[in-house]
Amino acid sequence: MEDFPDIIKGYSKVEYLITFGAIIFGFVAAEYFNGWGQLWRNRKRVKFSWIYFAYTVIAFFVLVVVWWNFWLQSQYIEKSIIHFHLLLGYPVIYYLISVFLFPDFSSYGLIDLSNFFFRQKKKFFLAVALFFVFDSFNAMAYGDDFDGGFRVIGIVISLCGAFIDNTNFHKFLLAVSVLAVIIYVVALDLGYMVPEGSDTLNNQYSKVEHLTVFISLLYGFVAAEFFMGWGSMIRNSKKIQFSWIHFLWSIFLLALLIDIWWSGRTQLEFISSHLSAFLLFLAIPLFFIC
Amino acid sequence: MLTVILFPNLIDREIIVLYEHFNSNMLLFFTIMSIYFALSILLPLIGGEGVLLSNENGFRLFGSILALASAFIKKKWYHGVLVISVSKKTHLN
Repeated sequence: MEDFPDIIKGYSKVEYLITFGAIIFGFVAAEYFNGWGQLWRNRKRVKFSWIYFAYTVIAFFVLVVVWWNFWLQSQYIEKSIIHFHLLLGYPVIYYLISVFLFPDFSSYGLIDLSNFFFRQKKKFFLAVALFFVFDSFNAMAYGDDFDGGFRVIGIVISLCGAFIDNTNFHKFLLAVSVLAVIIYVVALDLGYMVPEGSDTLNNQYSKVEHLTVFISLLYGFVAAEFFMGWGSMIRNSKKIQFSWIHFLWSIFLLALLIDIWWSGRTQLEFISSHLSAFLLFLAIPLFFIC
Repeated sequence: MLTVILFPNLIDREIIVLYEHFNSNMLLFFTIMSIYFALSILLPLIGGEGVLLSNENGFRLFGSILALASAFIKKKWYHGVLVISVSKKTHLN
């Protein structure tokens, strides 16, 4: 087994392993789309909260940033199964965060998002702190500590959020979190924190490939929403009165999504060099179509 | 947003007339579509490869205006013709 080649007919070990990781990451990211969708579907019994909603958006953006930075760490996953397990810790912790962040919509009655957030905040912020500690540990282990200051800020914000109950303080904390994310993205785009390296790791796994596999999973999730919608309509055919116009609009939207995916290839070079562009190109079509 | 608006929550609901569901969410549905088309003019510009005056952007601008106008038209025949026309256009592109 030790002499087994790293590349089989052009397919490297890193690509093989990262595909599995990407599916788990994509599943976790899809939880956010699903959660926002449920918020909308249950809007009549949901009391909205801007603080809560802003934290879901920040959490999603940080997840995308994690995937962006994960590309550099992906070079280690082929070294041993322990490295592979360690890096899969990211989606596991992030899934935990999404569980604390979104309410159980199967329960009946009013869902007050502000109350829900303050009830869950300790678990949520401690999970976020765990994420930053885990990330710091990985960065130290692999010598990729190019943005360590932000991890310290993340841990401080999380611990303050977990143990302080004051609503006004949480508004202030939210403003600081938004500012920290913006500064991080801008600093990364301006090249202040870019670690040295080429666009392809060991000539095996490119950054474009890394970002594309993540985007494709999210687009796949949105496409699956159409199948689930149609499937639900077929299963509940006895209690719906069919409309051709409604059906054709749903077909049109799926065709639009496919059209966006078809033409999105031309943007890949640009989005792989700017985190802000990656965030925009990922979030806008998916937010609107999903 | 658009799929969430388009597909109703069927759990714990009695009879749902899908056209009525579509009709009652029409304003939101087309407004979001209009905003999306307007933003999609800007996205290729941010990407650095697009130009403001192009056939594609003309189509997107037309789509944005058409979607906004359609939000206020309640005629069933209009929406029937519209969805067939735009589907054909998208497919041809």
